[in-house]
Amino acid sequence: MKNRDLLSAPVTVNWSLSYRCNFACSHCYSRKLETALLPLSEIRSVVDLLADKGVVFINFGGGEPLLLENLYDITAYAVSRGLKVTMNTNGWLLDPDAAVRIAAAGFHSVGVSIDSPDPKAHDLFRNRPGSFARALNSLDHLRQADVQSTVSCVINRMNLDNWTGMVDICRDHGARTLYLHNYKCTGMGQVNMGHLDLTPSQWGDFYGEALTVRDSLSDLVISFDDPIMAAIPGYKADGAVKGSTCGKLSLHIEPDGGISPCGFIPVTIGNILEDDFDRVWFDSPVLEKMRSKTPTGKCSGCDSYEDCLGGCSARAFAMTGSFDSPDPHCWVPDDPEECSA
Amino acid sequence: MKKLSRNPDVNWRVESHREAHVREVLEDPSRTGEDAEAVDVGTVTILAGGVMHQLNLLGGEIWKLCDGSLDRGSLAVRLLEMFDVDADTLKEDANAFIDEMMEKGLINEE
Repeated sequence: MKNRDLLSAPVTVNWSLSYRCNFACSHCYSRKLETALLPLSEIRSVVDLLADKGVVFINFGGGEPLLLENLYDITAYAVSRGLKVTMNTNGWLLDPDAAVRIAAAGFHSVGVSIDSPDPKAHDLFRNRPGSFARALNSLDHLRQADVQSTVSCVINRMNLDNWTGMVDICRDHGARTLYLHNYKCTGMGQVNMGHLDLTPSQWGDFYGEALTVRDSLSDLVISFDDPIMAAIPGYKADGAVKGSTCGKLSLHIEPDGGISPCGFIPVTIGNILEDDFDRVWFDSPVLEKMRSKTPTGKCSGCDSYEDCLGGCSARAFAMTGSFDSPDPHCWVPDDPEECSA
Repeated sequence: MKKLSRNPDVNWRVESHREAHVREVLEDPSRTGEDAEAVDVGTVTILAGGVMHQLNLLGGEIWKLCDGSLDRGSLAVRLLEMFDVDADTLKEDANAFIDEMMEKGLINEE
């Protein structure tokens, strides 16, 4: 990818203000990470820089954002600078008062994590009894405060057979979009992938089913995105870039201001307060590798490579240490003849 | 006359790095071979309904001018100050672009 083909800055910045969390979820990428936090004055400087660069969306994650006392001040400031702010929360701390403060701060929308329509399964996955009920309550509080909500569901073996039940949960609790996230084998996600991650063929079947369900609904948006879907016959992605979007449309900021390509790729490529942002965005050797991958293994000669560009760079990197390796979720067979059949 | 304005719910930005590159190519007579590629480069990004649109230099300038103060005629006059091309062709291209953007709900004319 040539520099002149790149957007002038990321469209979205996923920002982990802290890795502190009140949960210990089975798939968490950041559970074991610890870094210093930025003081509010420096966080404001980061917001200023992102606004000046033309970043459109900031999504707070981490870490549980609602543990941060200054979350509302930071958000109100970012909104005043013209940024659209969203966050992902487990919902535990999102009571009626928090919902009112969220509305006042100007959050564009709030995503609540719910990983199963079965309360017991969700609580087990999130390692927190009662978390399902509180997540549902948080959606109701958001609706009451007139804040747009979404639901995020990480697809894994536990919910593979009943994830469609999430549609009614969204409808009943006013969420406008259901995000289906693919499983990432980073951090605890790697530790637990043996019993939680799907097999490649299960991923292929899941995406086929998800597309059918998505296209059958008119009252709820189901959103999912995975570059390996390019291997589905007849599938046409409507994304702005091919392959992983990380490092092309988005970046991740760590709690201490470190910049990484994505939250699931624990490689720091600069610091937003110390390094020239344009130099990191345009010239980072790590980003360059992600933007200009070389097909290896079964990707070499595969008909889908032109569109999937090897799939998710984070998964390939987590499993092999190379962005060029085939996505471990890809269901296309190793044999090139089977691949094109 | 009806004025043209951008849909206020649409997020957009100028791709300053790309725009600078395109202008550099178009203004440098020694790089005429790169013209065809340059005119297709997206210099304005529009994000609407979960879809990202890229506008080339002409489209991007039209988009920027749709601030509610100009009608089609006065917008064409402003464009002719920027682009050294045949007036009728430019008006035709601009009108086609505006019609397309109106169909997508990205530009209003009222």
